[in-house]
Amino acid sequence: MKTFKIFGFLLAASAVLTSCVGEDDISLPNYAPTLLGEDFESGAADNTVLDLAGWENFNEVGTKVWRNQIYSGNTYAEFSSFTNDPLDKDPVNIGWLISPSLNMDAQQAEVLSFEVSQSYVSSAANKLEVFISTDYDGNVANIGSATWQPLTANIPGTDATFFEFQDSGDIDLSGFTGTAYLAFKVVGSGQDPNLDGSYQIDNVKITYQN
Amino acid sequence: MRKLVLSVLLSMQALIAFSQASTGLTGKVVDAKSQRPMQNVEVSVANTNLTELTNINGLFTFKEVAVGEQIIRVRSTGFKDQIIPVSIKQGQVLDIGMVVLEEDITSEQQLALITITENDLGDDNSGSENTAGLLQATRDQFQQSAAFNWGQARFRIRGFDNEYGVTMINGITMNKIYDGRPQWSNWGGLNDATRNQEFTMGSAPSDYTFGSILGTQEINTRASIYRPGTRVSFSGTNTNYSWRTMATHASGMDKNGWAYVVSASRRWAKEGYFEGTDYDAYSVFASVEKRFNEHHSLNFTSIYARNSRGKNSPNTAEVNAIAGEEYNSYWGWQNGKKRNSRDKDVEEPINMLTHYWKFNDKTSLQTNVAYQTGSVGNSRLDYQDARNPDPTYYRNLPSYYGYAVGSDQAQNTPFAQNPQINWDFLYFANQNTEEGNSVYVLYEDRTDDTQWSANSILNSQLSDNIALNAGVNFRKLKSHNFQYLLDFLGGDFYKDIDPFGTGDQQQSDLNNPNRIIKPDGDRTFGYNYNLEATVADAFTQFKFAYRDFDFYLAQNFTRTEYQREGLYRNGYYANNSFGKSKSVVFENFGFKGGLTYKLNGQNYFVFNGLYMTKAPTMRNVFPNARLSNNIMEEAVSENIVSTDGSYVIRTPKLKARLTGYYAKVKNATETSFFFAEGIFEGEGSDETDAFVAETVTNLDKKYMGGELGIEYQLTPTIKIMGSAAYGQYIYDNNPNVYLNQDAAATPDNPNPLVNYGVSKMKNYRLPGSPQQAYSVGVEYRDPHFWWVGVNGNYLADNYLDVSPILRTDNFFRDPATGDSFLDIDPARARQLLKQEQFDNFYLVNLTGGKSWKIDGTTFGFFASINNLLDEKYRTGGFEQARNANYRGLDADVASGTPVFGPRYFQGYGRTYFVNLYVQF
Repeated sequence: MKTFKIFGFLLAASAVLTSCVGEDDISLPNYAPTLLGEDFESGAADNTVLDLAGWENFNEVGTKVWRNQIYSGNTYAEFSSFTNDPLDKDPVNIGWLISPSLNMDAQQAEVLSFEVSQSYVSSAANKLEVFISTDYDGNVANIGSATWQPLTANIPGTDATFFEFQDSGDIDLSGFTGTAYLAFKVVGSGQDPNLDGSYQIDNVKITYQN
Repeated sequence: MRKLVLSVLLSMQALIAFSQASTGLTGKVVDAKSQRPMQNVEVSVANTNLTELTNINGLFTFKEVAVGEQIIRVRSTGFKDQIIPVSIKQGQVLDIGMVVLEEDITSEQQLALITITENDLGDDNSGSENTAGLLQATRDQFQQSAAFNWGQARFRIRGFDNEYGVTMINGITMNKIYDGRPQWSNWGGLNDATRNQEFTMGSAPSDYTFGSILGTQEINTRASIYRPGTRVSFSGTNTNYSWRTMATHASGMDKNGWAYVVSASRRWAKEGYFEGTDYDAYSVFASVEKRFNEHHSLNFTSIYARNSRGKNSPNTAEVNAIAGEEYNSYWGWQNGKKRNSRDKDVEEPINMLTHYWKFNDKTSLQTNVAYQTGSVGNSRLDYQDARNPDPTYYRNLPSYYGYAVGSDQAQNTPFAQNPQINWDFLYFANQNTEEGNSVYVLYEDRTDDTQWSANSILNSQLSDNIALNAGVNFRKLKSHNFQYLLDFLGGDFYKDIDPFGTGDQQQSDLNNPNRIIKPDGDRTFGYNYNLEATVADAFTQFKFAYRDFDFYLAQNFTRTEYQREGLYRNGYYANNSFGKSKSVVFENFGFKGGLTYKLNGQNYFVFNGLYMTKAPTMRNVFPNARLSNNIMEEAVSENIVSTDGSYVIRTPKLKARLTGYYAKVKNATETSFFFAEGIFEGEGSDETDAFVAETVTNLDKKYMGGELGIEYQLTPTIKIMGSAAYGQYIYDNNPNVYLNQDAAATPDNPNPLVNYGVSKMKNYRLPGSPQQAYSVGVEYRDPHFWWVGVNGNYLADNYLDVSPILRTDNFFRDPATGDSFLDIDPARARQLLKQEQFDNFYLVNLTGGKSWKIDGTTFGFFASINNLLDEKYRTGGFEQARNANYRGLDADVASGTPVFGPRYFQGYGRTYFVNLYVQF
């Protein structure tokens, strides 16, 4: 009789206690995880200097820097050498937009992609380049001593439609290890009408596999 | 009188009288108060067809009773049942002496209960009510706590929705075919007339049906089993209604074999507990029986209940913070009166003819034919190219402007300025349109059902140890659903078009385009269709009774057929809305069995197990029934497994039950309707906002836990009771989510379902009931016919209804790019998707009553106060799925007062119920 009682209690207890779930036993919906994700929707006003936490906006030569631009509700980053003010035109502009540091060891199969467009670019010398460095220390003073490896991306040429974003294509970053920085570098001139075009970038992301 | 035993236990002396040949028993039934013999009391031998009514001297006699242990059941309306175990010996007539029947005070309590659970819990217009299932008076202490103490907090036994219970009148299933839930309003207010009830819990066997996993409730309306007499009562309360009056008369069987029962009641309130909730209900009941001879009786039952009540709104925390806990957004002032825009009107009379055929003492057959027809209407405001008249429309609220609740700026928002429906403005707007048409109208979503039901239930004692129950059931439903214009609100006519569509999409009926609805013409508009269903089922059940073991086995088979017939050719679905859909057939079966091991007369072990499949309800098979014939192909039969084990102890002083249970429902389908923003891909709000039907398929749910109920008779006058429920009810897998998007329908794509893939629902808690509940109580019963009781309760683990669409991959998808958002913080996402748990709370309830007997007339009163401490608590709520992605939800929640925060249902604060009655 006693054993039956105990049996009954155990039955009830085991029904309750087996596979009880805790509050945090839930899974999130699936998404493409990003090592870096930037859509520039920071809430900054139109045509202001781009100032994003972790990003470096550096004018190596000249006075021009990357700026926030808003068109039709979408904010993106733009670098332009052009200005109407004759006194403000630089002979040479070199502008860098450098990402926060990226730990390339914590995941695998990193892939970079972004959207890019140009406006009024009429010469191949007025160029946007994308680099990665694994020996840059994060200090812009040392930008020249770091090794910047160019990445092959689908950058719009001189005959591309102005302001029409195109996909950079998937850029494989899986070969890089250690701490890396990504950089967008534009070279132009405010004084040379052939070199005073603009580049726009948006939705910069590095995806990976878990 | 004093020496009368008032305890639950009857006093009886078993005297053995010798008689020549018969083997049987005899006894006499008396009223505990008057000690007078009671006539027409039903006495039966359990698991047999042996049933007798007492004669004028209160005497009953059974002959030809099987030898061995038998259970005698004595019952009469308004009195507590008596269960008497006896031991029948060969060639002897056992005299069990006097059976004392005591008035059932819980049936008074029952009245109070129904008033607090009769309410919609959900924002849809389904015809039936989502009340806590099968919360009725039974002898089981746990179930009594669940009903009387926890019912107000919407506690559900084992977490089951009442579509998993079976409610019957004379064995005819009253669960609606549309959504599987019973429509309690169909016999509401007729508490006296529906008092003969039998219950089973879980999958335990019922003599009338195969049942399901929650339990069964069988209401018996046979006229001759009502205790003869007249009863008049008057009640006051502050819950759904304010006043109730009821009168019932039962004749008892006369010498010509006629018996009848009539009952009528009225319940009403100018304003119930929540603001603007008016209530108006009439109910009439009649049952007549003619006994032709020992073998045949015919009974005709007619039930007419008309119920009209104003509903109350679920509110966001912001709205309740501004306007109070009793706030209701559905009403507004008109000519000095509160007018509710959301009325629910139910009027579905039932007529039923029953044939009782007793072949012999061992076998009987009961056959019913029932016809029910009537309508259910849920009213609301409609508007065309005009401002949303809902005072809590999100653009009226401080949160939309970013103002904090209580700030000066918040005082100037439209909601703070006018928190109720502005009927005068609606009339003004309608009277000043260019063409004279109404831009605001009051309409109702109508469901006019006509249903024929027939059943036959066989009951046979095959041998001393084996009993058989078998039944066949047939139901045929035609359900006419349409939008009906109630009030033009001062305008001359209404255009039957859908202003959200373009071109043909604007037409509700291409066969009759650009219709103008006028007050003196046909007022049907919007949608118009029939749903037809035919359900046939059969069951058999064998029960075996032996000295140490009882066991049973039962099986059933059900065939269900559904079809939709469109009466309008809808503009979105030109080719698949008019005429008949293909018919959908489901064939289902079930098996169950159970065992009772009798360790001795006081200790029992009970085990039950069930496996069955269950057809999806029509609501889920035709998720877009209003507009199209489309069938949700993934709505398949549910697979249900349930098992429980109990230890039961019954001693003269101590009664206790401890149960552990486990149940799993697989492949469930659930459909809900809402207005969503940011749901569909594409830029700009026009493309991404939509009114959608969300169907969740392949959903698994798991229920497990334990139940404990104890009552202990401390002294002959003091009883202490305790109950505990600990459960865990969870979603057990990741189901699929589909949205129906009318705007995407084209001739090439007549079923515009968007598959959102898997929703990560696994391990979220099922909503709708506290998953833990505890109760302790004490009751004092004075020998001078008065009693008081008090109980304290603690309820915990009640959760918000989470939105499946929010937990699909769509949540992280940027509608601008179609890819994942770039700034996802998993920790923040977890925070946003965490299920809200409501605050736990305490409830203290008081009950008491007294009765007097003067010259054969009983006067009595019953009073209760529920939630004495006026605790404020939430009984339920749901997430709004409007800003259905990570970025939108993040921004909305970060604002502090979300514009689309969850909507909550409030529990009642302190309520009272007083009932006065006279019985003669």
